[in-house]
Amino acid sequence: MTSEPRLAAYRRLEQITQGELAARLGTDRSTVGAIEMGRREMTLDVSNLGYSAERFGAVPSMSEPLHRSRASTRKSARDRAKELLRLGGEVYVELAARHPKVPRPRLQRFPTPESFADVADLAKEIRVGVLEVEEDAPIKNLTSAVERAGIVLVPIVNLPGIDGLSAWVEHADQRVPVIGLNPNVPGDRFRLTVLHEVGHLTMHNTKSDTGESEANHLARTVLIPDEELRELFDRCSPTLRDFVGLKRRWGISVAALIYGARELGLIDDHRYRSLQIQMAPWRRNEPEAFSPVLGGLLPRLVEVSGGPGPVGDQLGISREHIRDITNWSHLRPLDGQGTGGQPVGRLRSVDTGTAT
Amino acid sequence: MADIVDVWTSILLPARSRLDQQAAEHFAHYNSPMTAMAKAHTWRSNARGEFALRAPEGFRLENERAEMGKVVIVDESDEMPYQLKSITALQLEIDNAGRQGRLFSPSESSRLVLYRFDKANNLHLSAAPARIVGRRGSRRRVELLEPPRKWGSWPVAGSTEPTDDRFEQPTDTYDDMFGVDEMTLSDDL
Repeated sequence: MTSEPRLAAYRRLEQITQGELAARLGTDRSTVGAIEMGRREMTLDVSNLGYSAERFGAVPSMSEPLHRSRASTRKSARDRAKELLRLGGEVYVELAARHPKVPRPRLQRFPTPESFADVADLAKEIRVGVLEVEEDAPIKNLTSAVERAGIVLVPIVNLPGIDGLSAWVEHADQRVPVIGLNPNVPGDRFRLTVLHEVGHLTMHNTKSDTGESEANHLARTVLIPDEELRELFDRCSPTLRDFVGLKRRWGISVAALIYGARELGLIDDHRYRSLQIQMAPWRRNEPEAFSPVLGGLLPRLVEVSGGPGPVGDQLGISREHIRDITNWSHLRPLDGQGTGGQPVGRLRSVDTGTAT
Repeated sequence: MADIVDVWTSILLPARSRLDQQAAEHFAHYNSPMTAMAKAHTWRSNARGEFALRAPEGFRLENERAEMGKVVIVDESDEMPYQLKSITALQLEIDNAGRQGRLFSPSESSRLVLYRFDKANNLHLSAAPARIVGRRGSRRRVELLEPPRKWGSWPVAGSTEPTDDRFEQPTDTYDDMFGVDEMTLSDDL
């Protein structure tokens, strides 16, 4: 826990201004600002926000998330996503403590790699040691393997431009890896994003020039070992159809396979460009599409603990925020009025926490 | 290396099969049929996609006016272009010869691949050497150098591979963690 009061974290989750929060609390903006800056003690009654006073006193500390997001992503969207990770880790730790069979994190940080060969070695370690899957077989339900390794998955819904982000959350003497994911993507992209974030969690503390390519490389080599790609080229001179067949077996996008083949020197730049041109019609929707398997363990934990309402009451956390970290549906009510349809928040009744 | 007939049938049949699915989805969504024009263009687009998927050795797809629906496959052994054309469209061109230009005229020396689908959804293909005659401004006229020779007829139904072998992801209920039941996760995770 940090001594930072939850006021700012709450605002970031709600994507509201200090003035809007002040109105909800029946105070003025300067008071909210002073509390957030630590210049004034937190003495406001927060019961109508759905939080207990004790819970509102502090938030768990967390590492700074590394984003797989577009440059155009709004800061408020990134801030909300970060707070969803923090809350997801916090709730997971507290609910998992009630169930001894719920996994504790097996993932850990590794030294930053010095070469792609190091990344490939790490990929093998993650495949076998962390995800506990066979060394040379397709990972069918990656979501399950990741959650059974104690990695918490939370939905990042209606936050344009963010496919995934991750952070370590420290709470109750535990350090849990949490990944936020956009569920509204094809299954192959979802799987790559999950492992891309696993790569960041294990290899990176801060952004670097090579961080994204290292995370991509790790994601690809966990999903399909280099040897399997090489074997395909030993058999034939693969066409796009062969790559599609590989996708059907290994659950990895054709684009990632083609990129991997170039990384391994199996195809030259000319062949790479040619395949890219052939792939152009499927840039957004590749052949052999399949759906993502969305996170299930945290929603299940909440469900067996009584559901979002009772869990929110037990933990002193807004019921609505419990729903936010467990509801993977994209069908959230949006308030698009006056914003050109951009999702800026949700229509809800603050005092009851019930979506309206 | 594949024969030119194999190349054409290997792309046109699955393209048509996919079109049938797309047309059915269109009807289910709008309760209104896909237009003939949309079908023609979608089928040609599918055909180009099928060629890209298969990338048959010794053949290439021309990209000129691809966006307008032109489909031309070049046999790289003799650089002979084979242009797809419906028999109906060719008949119209012959009937209107001299009165209007054509959207897609064949190359100076090429072969037309003429197709027709019958009511039973069979594909009929024939081919004929052709050349351009009577060029006047942007208006050109196609002349068949020989009568079309039939390549064959193929049923569309059953011509494509089954599509139910997609990447499978077994469900995990996590019941084993909560004492609800035995572990239900599939062994092939």
